Amino acid sequence: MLFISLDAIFLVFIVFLGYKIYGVYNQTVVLKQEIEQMKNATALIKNNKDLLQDNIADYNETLDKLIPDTETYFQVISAFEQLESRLGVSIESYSINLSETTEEKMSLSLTIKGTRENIESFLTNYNYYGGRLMTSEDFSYSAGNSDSISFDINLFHSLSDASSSGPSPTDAVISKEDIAFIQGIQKKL
Amino acid sequence: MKKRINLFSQRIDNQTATKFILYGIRATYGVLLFGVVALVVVTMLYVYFSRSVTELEKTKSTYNRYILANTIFNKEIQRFLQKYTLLNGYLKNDVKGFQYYLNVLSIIQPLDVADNLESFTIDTSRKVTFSLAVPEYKRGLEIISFFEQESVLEKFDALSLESFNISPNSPTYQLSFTGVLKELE
Repeated sequence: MLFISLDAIFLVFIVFLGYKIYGVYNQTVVLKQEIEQMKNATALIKNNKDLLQDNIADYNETLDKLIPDTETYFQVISAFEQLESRLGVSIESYSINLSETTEEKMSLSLTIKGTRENIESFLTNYNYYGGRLMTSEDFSYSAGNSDSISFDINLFHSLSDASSSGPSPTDAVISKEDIAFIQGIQKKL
Repeated sequence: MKKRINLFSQRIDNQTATKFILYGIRATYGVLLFGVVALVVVTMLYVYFSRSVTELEKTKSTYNRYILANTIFNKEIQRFLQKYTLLNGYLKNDVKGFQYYLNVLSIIQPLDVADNLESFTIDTSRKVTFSLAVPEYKRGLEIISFFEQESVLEKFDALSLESFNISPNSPTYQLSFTGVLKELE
């Protein structure tokens, strides 16, 4: 009878400890995941602090100009006006390509008028001279045919989410070339 | 009539009962033994995981202190990486068409037909089409031989003459090419 009681006590105790171990094991799994994220964040800070800490706010400001958090009609107009005044072209008309426009990308077709030199200057510098990022996915050109061209451009916006604990690659190291690239863009804005 | 009592009549049943009791006792011992072993193993596991949690919490606390000391920079670098990654991704989809146009002009420079480049199109996969128009058949043949040279072809990933037409209204020979340009550095 004593042994049976002991058996029962043992079994209950083992089940209890098993349950506790399961809890502790889950805790270690969660902790390991948290540590992995923290390790990445720490590596990211350590790898980039020396090169970036003095100017990172400036660089972020530049990136926010290139890819603003939100898109408004006035921002688009302002970018076109800046292009016109800096590159000497006239944007005669523009229309939205609805089929190419997405949540973060606005695609527009422009009709641009100007001298051949100004149009070619526009085609060389359209990426940053509007004060924000503009790209084009296809290009068609025939020099000398006319003083105006049709040109499709894309404008982008994306919400900054610094609070996001999303994956940041441990090996993300901003190089001197990256900094030079950003500084080069700053001069063009 | 004599009555006899069979003293062995219950013996088999008693033996069976004894057997069951013996099995029961053995099973109880077995469970007890298993219980002791399992208890030792489970306790060791519990101690191991508990120590592990303590160590991990220490490590977490160390990282946390470092991150807290760099909270502002941490937010800034996350923000920087997010938009810088987007910037590079968007720029990869930029056609850089005018640079490729100038590249084709520089390729055909030896032919001295830059003004004869009638049309030029390119997309983000660097698939290019361009056409040259010349007034003489001989010049047309010269252009074809030029594009057959190894030194010219190596500037393209692919190139083919799509058409060689004569314009019906004017004596103009039009050569249309299609291909893929090598990526600019």
